[in-house]
Amino acid sequence: MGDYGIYIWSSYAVMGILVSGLILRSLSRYIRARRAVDALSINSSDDAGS
Amino acid sequence: MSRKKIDWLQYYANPHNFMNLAQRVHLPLWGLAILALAYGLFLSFNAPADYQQGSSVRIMFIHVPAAWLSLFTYSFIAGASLIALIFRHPLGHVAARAAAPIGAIFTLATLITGSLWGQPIWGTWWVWDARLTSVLVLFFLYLGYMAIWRAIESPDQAAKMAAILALVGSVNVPIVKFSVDWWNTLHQPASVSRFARPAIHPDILYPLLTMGGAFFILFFALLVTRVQAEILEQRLRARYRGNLNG
Repeated sequence: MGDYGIYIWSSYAVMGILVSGLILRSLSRYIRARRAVDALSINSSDDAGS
Repeated sequence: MSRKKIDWLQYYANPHNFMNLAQRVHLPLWGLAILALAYGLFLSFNAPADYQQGSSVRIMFIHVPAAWLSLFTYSFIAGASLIALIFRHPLGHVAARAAAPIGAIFTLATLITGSLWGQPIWGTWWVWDARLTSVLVLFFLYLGYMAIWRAIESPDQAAKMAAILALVGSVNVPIVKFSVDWWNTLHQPASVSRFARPAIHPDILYPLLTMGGAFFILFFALLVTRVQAEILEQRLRARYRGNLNG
């Protein structure tokens, strides 16, 4: 990587932290909502557009 | 818009139909995103050094796709908002709201990785040139869009205000894209264009396009998951309101 190693690794680390944070937040939000809906046996008749 | 397109829009305006589709595609999308990212990273770290930039060109393999995605996501939000306002498509606002944090994160990543590339190559972390400044404005537009959804209590009112901001802010998209052609900027002009031969050697172009593809697949995987979460939360809120009303 030569002289640029610190800049390259920092870039990939920043990208990794930001994107993995977004992925984890999105997945955990989906799983939480899915569990709550399943636990209450809610079906699609509660949808606004249906 | 053709009749077939409108039928398709109306069919997926029903959250129940969308959820059926999303449940079928979301796992394959995540699998594909992980594979594409892994392959893109492999290519990025095995690409030869550029004759001018040296190995710092590897930063471009994540910076450029992140920049493409930040512009694409804003255009998507503006398009979804327009569809929601014109056709009263219930999923338009939901999709736009779900996409906003994805766009904000990739715009922030574009700014930071660009800065980390600029320091060794340009000798500065930041310059107030047209491209960098318009991308910073794009980031603030994302923050403003998300802030409206949080600040306004009535969902209908918030959706309308956020959609108006998205549409007004879409003026910035061509400014970002063409800023390097319209003004003298330190930022170089586009090296990959739909209409011209790319000014990049295939050894560099191939990892760049692979990472670009991987980022777009990741965007759709994230979008589908976030829209599903939003619909499920709406169902929970509807049930909660139903219980309150007796």
